[in-house]
Amino acid sequence: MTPERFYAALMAFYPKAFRDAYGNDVLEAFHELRRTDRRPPIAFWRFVLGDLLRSVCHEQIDECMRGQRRYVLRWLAVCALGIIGTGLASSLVTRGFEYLYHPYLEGLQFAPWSYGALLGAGLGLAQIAVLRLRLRASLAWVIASAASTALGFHLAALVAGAIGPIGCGVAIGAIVGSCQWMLARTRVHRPAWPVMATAASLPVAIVLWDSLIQRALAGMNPVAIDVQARTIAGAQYGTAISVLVRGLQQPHAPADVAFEFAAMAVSGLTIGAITARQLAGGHRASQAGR
Amino acid sequence: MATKLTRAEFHVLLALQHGTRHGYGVMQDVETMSEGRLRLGPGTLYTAIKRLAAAGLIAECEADAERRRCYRLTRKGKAVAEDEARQMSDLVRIARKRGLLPSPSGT
Repeated sequence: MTPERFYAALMAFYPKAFRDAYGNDVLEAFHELRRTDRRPPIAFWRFVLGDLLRSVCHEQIDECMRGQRRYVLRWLAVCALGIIGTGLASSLVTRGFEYLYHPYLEGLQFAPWSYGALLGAGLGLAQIAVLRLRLRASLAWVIASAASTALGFHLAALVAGAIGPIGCGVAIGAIVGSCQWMLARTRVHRPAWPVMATAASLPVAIVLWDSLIQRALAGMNPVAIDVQARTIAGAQYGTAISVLVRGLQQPHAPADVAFEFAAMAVSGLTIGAITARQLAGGHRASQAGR
Repeated sequence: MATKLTRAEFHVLLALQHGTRHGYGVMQDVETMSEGRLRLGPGTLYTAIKRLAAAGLIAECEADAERRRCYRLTRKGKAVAEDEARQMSDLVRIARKRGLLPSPSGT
């Protein structure tokens, strides 16, 4: 392999737009530089590869910070933040309950809808950052998200034993997705994708929530949901989830907590990645239409 | 240009101040101008060229005899380079006043 071909192969790390516009020129400048440079080969390659690495990073960041990729990144971020936010809120509620425990509170039960309202509000708040609805519509979006999740959560809790956490998530996701779609259809270009992202992310969130609630049940029994009968064994949730549940149930060290939130972030990013391409297409079309 | 010029971008503008250049010509000019203290690699050079062209500070001109793309400084580019040079000059003057740099007369 000639040095030029090697360098050309490394240029694949540049964004396509940059390669199309300047790829040949960069390669030609490299060729001229190699022909005239008097440095020893190691010093030459250290200079050239360092330069390539810096400019690739620069171009990739530049590409991500504008246009449709920027929109996609923001959507990924809100999906992740929405799920992290709900996890954080649920942790605060359960930990707060444990902290405030008093014998008089024995037997107190939080209705499932209250957790659902928190979950929906967290996701709804994160989503309006990207959807950019006007204030009035934003409030309506958050309220609709919170109310529909609360309703869905409460209804699903009644049949949770039969349909399991993923079934709960799908049911709640469908309710929330439908509610959001009714609001978004007149205000957002191609509303189906962000709404589908919500609907798809909720099953993931519900599995995590279910784990958190079970953790709370192990101590104070704050939630009126009949999940005690079910086990948290790996057989029920699958290997990855059982690892996650273990991290959620017995966080002995900061690393466990970090794992919990990292898992939530990955869930959000995965959901965002599934819908990002289609969302970007919608964004591009709406930009072109202006 | 809303953002500040980087060191490499400013040197590219300086190199084009003396007329049109192709990419490799700019690389050579920058190295000569800076007496070897700044060497632009191909990647950094074209990253700078891309940004400067997008900001309208340089423009493509007709290819040379070897069909290499050449660039020239635009009027806007010249104004921005002058402004940048003036700011640097002011900084040098302040540094001299504060004794950080010796004065040109050596006093």
